[in-house]
Amino acid sequence: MMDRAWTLRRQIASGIFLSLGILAVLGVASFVSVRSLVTTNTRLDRSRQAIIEIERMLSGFSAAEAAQRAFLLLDQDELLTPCEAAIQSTEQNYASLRGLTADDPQQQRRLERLRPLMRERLRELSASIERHRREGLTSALQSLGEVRGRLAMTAIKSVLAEIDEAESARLAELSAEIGSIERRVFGILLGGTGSAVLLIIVIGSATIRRTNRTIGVVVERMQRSSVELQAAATQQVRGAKEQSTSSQEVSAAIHELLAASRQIAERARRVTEVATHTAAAARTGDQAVEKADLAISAILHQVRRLVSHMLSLGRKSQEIGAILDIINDLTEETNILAINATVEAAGAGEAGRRFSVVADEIRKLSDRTGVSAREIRALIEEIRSAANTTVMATETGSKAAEAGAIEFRDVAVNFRRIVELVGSTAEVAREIELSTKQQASTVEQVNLAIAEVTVSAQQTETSSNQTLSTSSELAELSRELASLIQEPARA
Amino acid sequence: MALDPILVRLAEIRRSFDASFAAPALHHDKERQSVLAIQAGEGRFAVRVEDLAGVEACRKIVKLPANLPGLLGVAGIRGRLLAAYDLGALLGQPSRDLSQGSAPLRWILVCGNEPEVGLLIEEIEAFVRVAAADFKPIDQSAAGGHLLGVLQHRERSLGVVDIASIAAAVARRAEESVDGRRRQ
Repeated sequence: MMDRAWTLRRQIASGIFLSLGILAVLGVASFVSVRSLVTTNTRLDRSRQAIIEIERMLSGFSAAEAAQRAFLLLDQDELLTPCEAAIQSTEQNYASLRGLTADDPQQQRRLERLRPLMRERLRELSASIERHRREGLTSALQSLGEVRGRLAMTAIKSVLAEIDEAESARLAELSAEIGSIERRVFGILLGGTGSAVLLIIVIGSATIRRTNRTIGVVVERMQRSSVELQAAATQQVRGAKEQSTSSQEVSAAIHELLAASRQIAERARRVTEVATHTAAAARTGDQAVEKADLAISAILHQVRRLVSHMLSLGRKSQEIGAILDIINDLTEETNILAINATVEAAGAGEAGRRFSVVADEIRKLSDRTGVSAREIRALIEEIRSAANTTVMATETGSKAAEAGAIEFRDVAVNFRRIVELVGSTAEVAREIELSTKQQASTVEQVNLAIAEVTVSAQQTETSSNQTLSTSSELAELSRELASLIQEPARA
Repeated sequence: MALDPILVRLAEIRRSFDASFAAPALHHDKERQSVLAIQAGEGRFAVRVEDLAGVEACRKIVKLPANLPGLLGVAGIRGRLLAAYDLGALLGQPSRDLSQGSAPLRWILVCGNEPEVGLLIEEIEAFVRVAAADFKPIDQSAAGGHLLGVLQHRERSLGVVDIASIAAAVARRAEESVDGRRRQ
């Protein structure tokens, strides 16, 4: 369950972190031990230095006493130089010793006791020298024999011996401590390192086993997946080839469709042009129809006036005919009167012959008048007949003109409707042209998209081949990896 | 109808009318007789002017309760009463029927020897003067024996009516009728 829950990375990281923890514990223990060793060693060095400083102080006092005696005996001032140097170095050694034993209160107390003794001894040395200079050698030699100086020196040596002894004891103690620390360090280094190595080996082995098992499962799955991927890649290659072929066929069809769309767009443009020209011609025709309508109305008005005039002419002709009737009657009456005059002239005998001639003239005149009246009547009748015919024809023409005007108004209405329809047709044709252009544009975009799809299909085919190749390589690699993993198991 | 032919005809009428005044004065030809070409009934006849007392326009005719052949009634002419007879009927023309389109009787020929008798005719077609040689003899049995001869006028033969014979026949019938009523 932990194998399943813990990832390979987590397992390896846990092993590494556990090993690092062991190494860290080992390092910390080693550091602490080494640090303790260094500290103890430092303290050991300080004790050694303190012992050295004690020796130097003793040597300094000895050198100062020797230089004092030499000066007292030889009375040469240059012999005082080593004395002064010894005194000065003794002070320095005291200060150094005080610093080296600062962590030890007992040593500090001893050094506190030493300090007045040192000053006393040094003051005595200086006093003997001054006495020599003031009182001479004898007085000086007497001072050498004083007990107080020797006691001071003895006390100094005694205190220094205590200090030295304490330091030596401490040195021994520190040395023993260093040895203990060294053993512990060695133990830590050897034991810890060995334990760490063993633990790391155990953890590494466990991690390797788990990793090996996990990788084995994964490799097995990867093998199956590689086989499945290979099969899928093979199928994908076939599909990609079919898709590529189909895309090419679709591209060809779209190309033909694009050509057809362009042809349709061109024809729609021509239709739009024709419709526009037709609309313009229809508008011109509409104007002509309006003018013709006005002209027909004017003609109808003139025809009505003509009918009115012709009817008036007919009435006038009738009036003329009535007048001619009167004239004819008068002519006949005149003729009858002439005939009667002739009868009377005939009855009058010879006397009436001249009268008969006059009556004959009157009768002839009456005859001519009658003839003329008849001719005029005939003319009037012709005029009346023509007028009646004209009136009838004009009325017929008027009715025909009115009917024609009505028909023409219907024609005008229909023509305006045609103009509107032609305008609508032009608009629709324009919309068809725009739609067809948009369709052609869309088909071009589809063509481009199909071309990209074709390229993509070809790329898919190529990548499918690569996938197939890669899956084959992956299957081979998984087999090799499985053989690498399973080989130790066989051994 | 074009006006030009009318104007041409009017000009001809005007010229003929003016020319009549420019023609030399006529002389009365004694050898020629004045004759009226008339229409009586369905036939065309000629009447000598010298046989007439006058020609009058036909006015209103008042019918009489008499049954004399051809008698239409009486008509008032210039203050006189005339017995109005249908000349066509007297000449043996078919009976008149106005509903069948017969021409109306427009003129009254007043007989010269019988001024009380008026003969009604449809139309006076012409007044002509003819020479005696233009008269041709005719069978007396035609037209009830009231024709004097035949006159050639405008390529037609016109029977010349004997007005005196007609008037005598009418008077005789009237007397006979009066006598008959008296006898009744």
